[in-house]
Amino acid sequence: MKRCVPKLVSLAAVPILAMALGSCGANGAFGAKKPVKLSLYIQQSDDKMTQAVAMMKDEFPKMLPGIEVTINAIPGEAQAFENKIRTMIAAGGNGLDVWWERGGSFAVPILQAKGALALDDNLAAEKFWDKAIPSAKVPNADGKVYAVPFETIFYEIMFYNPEIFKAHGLTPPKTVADLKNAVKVLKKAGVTPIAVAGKDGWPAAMMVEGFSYPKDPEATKKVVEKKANFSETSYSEGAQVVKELLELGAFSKNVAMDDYSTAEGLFVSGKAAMIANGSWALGDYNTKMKGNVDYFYYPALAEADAAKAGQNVAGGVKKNAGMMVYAGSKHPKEATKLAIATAEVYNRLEYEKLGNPFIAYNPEKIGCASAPAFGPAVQRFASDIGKFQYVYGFVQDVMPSAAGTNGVMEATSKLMTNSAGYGVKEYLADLDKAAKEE
Amino acid sequence: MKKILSNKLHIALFCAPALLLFGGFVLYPLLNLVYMSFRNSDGLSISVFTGLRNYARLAGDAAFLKANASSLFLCAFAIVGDAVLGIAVAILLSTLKGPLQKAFRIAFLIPMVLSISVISQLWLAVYHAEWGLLNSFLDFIGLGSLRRSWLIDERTAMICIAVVGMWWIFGYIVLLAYSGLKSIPEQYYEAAKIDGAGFLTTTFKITLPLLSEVSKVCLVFSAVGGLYTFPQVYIMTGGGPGDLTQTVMMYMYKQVFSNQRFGLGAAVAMVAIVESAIVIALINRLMSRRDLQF
Repeated sequence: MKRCVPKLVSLAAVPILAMALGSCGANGAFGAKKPVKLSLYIQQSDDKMTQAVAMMKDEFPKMLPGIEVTINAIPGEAQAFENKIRTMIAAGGNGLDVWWERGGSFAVPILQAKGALALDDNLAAEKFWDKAIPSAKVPNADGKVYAVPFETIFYEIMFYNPEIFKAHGLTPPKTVADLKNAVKVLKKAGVTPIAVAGKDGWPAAMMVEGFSYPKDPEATKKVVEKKANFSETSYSEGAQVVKELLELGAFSKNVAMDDYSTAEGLFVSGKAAMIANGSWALGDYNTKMKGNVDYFYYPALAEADAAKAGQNVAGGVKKNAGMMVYAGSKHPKEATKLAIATAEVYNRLEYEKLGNPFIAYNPEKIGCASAPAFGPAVQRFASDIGKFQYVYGFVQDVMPSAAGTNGVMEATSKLMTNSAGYGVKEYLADLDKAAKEE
Repeated sequence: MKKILSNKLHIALFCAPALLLFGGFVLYPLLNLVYMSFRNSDGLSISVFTGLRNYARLAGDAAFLKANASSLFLCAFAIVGDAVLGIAVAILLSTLKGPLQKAFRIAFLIPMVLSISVISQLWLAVYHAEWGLLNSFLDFIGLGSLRRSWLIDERTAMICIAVVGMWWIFGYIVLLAYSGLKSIPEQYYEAAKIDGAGFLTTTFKITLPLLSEVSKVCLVFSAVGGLYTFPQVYIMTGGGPGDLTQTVMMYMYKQVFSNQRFGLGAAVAMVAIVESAIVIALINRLMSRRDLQF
């Protein structure tokens, strides 16, 4: 028996040691908790997002203790990125926890397939809504919130180069007639009057929408709610203005093949005097053009309505856009924290470094270091936002189906070819067809 | 060897790996494609059986019919511009000797080793409406009146796309045909020369008949390549502006990945498969080998 005791002790020690070592392995060295591993997918759309990813790599270890984040920054366009996310979800969501969802019709199939987690409870637990501005809360039709607001708040406007305008004795147009006059003057001087990404479709569609807004700001809403066809709304006037601008040679010859970065390049380099874009670019242009940028609202069709320009503007916060959490994530609470941290870091970058005050958060509450010196145009736009009387989402963001969104973009891209066989009538017929897509 | 092949179990064992791969990566996706083409699916939710609705929709969709016509045009263009011209160039190339022949061979092969992304970007610069190489060249040779927005003009957009595909694949066809030419025994040409046959006679009586199998491969490659044109369209124009340069493959891509209509996309794929099968059958019929006696 005496000889058996050491053997028994040794035998008993083996499983005890194994358990102890096992627990060390599970919780890290001597009781430290094993970090939760999460995967984040972001579309690396531009330089801004490259900066954001670099900032996230620095900030996440401080903001998310106990969470190890793998950042997957995917270069390319939004559509390709959405395809990747949808394919991942369709394949079981392996390796997907949090992603940047562009919202609108892009998000519809993901929500229908219950691929995204409803975040209401987790956000409440994190006291998230204390940090975000009230208008950032845009629930889905079922009343639940599926995305942490990520993108800045934006509206469709036109930017112009004040130096070029001044050199040619021009002032920001209040009416379409003023704009046409400016186009003629600039064209004669050898300057490309307006830059727009005709190839991408959506910036040109924003332009058609912008010109139709002063007459009837509810035009897009009526179509989305199936109360009218595009051809029955002020879109016919908006499209007519764009067609007339095309006839005047207001755009580059290659406009239908100009993508977003090409159009921005034309404007920022001073080769184009104006650009049709969203207000998200205001801070960026202000920095890149060293303050030589200003904006105007889409001009009114008639002289009598000139004062109304800028009262009703398309834009605002997109529905179901932002950081989404995969419904099948093994760590939903931690994933929600990651979604919040990602949004906060990005919005801090926009506010602190890119000089964009139009973020969806209260700057002090997300730890913005200090208020930067915003350019005069940025400050003016910030005060304008409070005066907008009517706001509704961009046409490409609010179409009820993905096919509808694509139909609008494709038709507008075709309109920009200014071909003889494709006029306003054909364009509106294609828009009506797009609105009926399911 | 005979003993092994007489044993059916051995045959089955040897064939099994290839059959498994073929079944998994060709047969199953093909059958699934047929199945999907009768269903409505967004790729995420459960699909619903819709019978022939996807096919009926395609038959009535002007955009699909236009894309299909464009793809058939690209197919015809590739047959003439790649296969026929490629074989002709290979024959002419074989008549050259020394470093000149080598230089031409290398020149024709360069596009083939370039990535299609690079080629597409390069041709975008060629076709640019304002500062493109093509318009500048036209100005240089005094034909500035022919300047145009090549990829935006509906009369030229599709031809421009076809030229890119042709430029890319041309070297491959030349290489294929040239290899075929080199396998023709030299004695036939020597005998023909003694009989007093000229270049055209030897080409039509000896070269082309003996090159018929290689020519068939060249024709099939070119035709299917043209019918399935996608990467250069995706990179250069995205099928646009509007639907100016939309091919069947681009239409399918948009339906599946942009519009989330997987069922409709599967139906498009089925139509494309049937069309390519018809084209291949036609080529086979036209090029059916007749017995040759020399």
